[in-house]
Amino acid sequence: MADALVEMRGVNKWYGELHALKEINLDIAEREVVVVIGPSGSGKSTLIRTINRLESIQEGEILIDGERLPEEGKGLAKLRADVGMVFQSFNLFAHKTILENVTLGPVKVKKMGKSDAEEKARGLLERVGVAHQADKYPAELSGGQQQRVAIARALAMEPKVMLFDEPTSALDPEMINEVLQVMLDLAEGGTTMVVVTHEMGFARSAADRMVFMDEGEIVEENDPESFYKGAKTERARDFLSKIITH
Amino acid sequence: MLEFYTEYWPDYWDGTLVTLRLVVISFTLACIIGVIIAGFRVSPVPPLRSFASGYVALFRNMPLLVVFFLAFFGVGDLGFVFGPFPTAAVALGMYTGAYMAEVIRSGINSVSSGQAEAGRAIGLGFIPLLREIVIPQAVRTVIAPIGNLFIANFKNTAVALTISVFELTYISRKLINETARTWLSLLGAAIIYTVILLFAGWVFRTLEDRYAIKR
Amino acid sequence: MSSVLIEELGPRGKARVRVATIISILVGIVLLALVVWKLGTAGQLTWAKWEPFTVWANLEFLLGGLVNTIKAALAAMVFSIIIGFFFALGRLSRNAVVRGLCVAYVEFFRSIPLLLAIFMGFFGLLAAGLDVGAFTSLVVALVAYNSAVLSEIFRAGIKSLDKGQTEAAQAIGMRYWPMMRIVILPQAVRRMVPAIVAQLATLSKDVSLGFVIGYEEVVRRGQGFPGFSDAGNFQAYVVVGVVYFILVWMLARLARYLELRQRTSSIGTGAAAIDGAGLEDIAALSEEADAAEVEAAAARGEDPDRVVDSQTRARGAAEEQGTKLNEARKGDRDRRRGRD
Repeated sequence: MADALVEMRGVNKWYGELHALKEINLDIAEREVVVVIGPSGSGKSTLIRTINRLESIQEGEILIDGERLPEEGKGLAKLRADVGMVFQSFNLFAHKTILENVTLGPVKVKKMGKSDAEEKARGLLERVGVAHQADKYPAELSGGQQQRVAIARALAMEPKVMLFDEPTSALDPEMINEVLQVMLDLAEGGTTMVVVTHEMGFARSAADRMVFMDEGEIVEENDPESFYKGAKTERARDFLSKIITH
Repeated sequence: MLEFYTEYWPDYWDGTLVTLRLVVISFTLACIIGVIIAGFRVSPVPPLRSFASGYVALFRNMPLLVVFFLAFFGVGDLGFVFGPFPTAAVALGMYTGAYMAEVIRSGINSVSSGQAEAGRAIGLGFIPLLREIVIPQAVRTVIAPIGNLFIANFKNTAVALTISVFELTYISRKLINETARTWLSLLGAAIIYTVILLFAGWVFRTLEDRYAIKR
Repeated sequence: MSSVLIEELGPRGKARVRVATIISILVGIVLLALVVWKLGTAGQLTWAKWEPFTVWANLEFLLGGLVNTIKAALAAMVFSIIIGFFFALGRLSRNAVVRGLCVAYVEFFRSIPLLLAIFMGFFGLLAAGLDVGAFTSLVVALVAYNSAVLSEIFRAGIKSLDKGQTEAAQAIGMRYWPMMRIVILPQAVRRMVPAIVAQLATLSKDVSLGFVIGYEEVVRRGQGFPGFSDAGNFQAYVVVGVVYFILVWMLARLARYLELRQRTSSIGTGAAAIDGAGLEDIAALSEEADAAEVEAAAARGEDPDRVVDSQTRARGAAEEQGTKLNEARKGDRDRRRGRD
């Protein structure tokens, strides 16, 4: 798969003694939606965070659109601009309005004109359904609204790939669906996505591929239907039984 | 009572000017030192971090009076000879600077790492991240403690009288000797200190309100 | 190592840090050498100048000063607590006149330099016909000054107590004073212990200003150190500085230890006690900056102990721990979802 958008080759990472990522090989094609699941501490968040080097790796290489992920400096910043990221805890800039949150990247990084950026931002906020909140501050919004703004903020950079790190885990149950809906729309629109989540409904309807991780390694990869119906490995079955039954 | 103050007003005025000059110079110096030491303390270079922690620990665990005496009697031997006023300004600035560094450092650390990660994730480099995200958020948390530092620094100028700087407290001490009207002499200085601090307190509260409003 | 500002370094960054490390060490060595050389040529490092510190009788003289310092600090502390406490109650009083007087007192002593208060305690009392000597004058001044600072700490401490405590006490029919004595104060005092120890460190530094009225504390003893003819002896102040450093450092450590212990035993309640309290005071302030940091970390779900050397902590480990907190909640939700 030479035309993969994201390529991870023999990636290893240690936190001191802990071998957090073991020999990870993963290709993500353009327009593909990959859902990563696994028990907590399995390294799934670490994996996704290495793709824009919020976590460094000790071995292996990561390529984005054929380009090797730089380790620091301007090159890294430039590449990060092409990779959108949505965090578990939203991380909206607390001192900026919703609109400013979305325009900051385009204006400061892409050097877009302020009015163009605002127009674009309003369009994106419209798309995620929080346009009427544009002049408020993050703290004034609900969790679900904040997360949708965070998605808009990432989209404003027109990224090649979007990373979602447990985007609904910090949300109250009634707000989960509004965020998932936005993500579903993106998936249908052909956005390349890597999503760490346990939301089975989302995985079933949006994922092209499931990646199951445990103890820092990729244990199993499959399409969602086959994965949920008949996981090949004991570990995956065990995990699935824990999250599905009761 | 009033004629006492009309008569000795020029003395008080001179002392007030010295005190104000001392506080302006030493506090400016403290701000500069504070930024540098705080920068050292959060830097990835181990010796700079150790130096900064050592600096802060040294000044935090010593009385200002000892700092003044060491500066006054020690620094001369290093080949620099300063008069009392510059010595006091530098010693006080270095002393307050240690506290300032702590305030700035905790201001920086009060910004959650998630904010910085989000900034990095949209492609902000080190300088833009500092300018757009970290500093604006840190400023909010440090205004009040910096105000308190200013007040402390202002009151600490009095210690300069121990190395013969003729500031406000020195003046009241001198007037006790000259006039034998102890309480009047002392109260004059106390009133001036109180008035100036009331004003400074108001300024910092206004600043705080202005920057806090946006959240 | 990754903090708010500095992310994990790449190879170029690491190389730069190595270069900066070497340069800064070299610069440090050069500066240190320069200081030593200058002091040496000024004759400050000759053995004759340091020899007096090897004579036990001389050190005894200096340590006598230290005892005087601690004596004054402790005496001032005890009386400051008692008086500060009454002013705190006064400021919470329902009587406007009492409240006003207490506010005036507190604000007055918080806005003048300690030295001026010491002059009031010495020359002021003398002028009023009270020749009480340097020790009492100093203690009076320190008490007047510190009770103002402490009353603010107490006030915050009392107010921080859960309103439920008051209501519970009232519900079982307690009146104001018994309630204060039996329910509110013991709890408030227990919470304020770390802040009080921190204040003691500050007080012991403040005692040095007794120098100006001739109190024989450690700086004064240093100045009059046997074996020196001139008043401005650099060596004696170095030794005094070391003595002070050890004393204050130990007290600050103790305060920190007590605070962390209290925090872990009663998360979320003890923390509020010193917040927004005696900010005025320069040392308390910095302690508080640390406290705020610890608190912020606690809020992020990190272990407060680890924050102390947060610089070196591995981010990954924190992540592993942090997730545990969410786990129960998340698992619960997953299960619910799975059932649908």
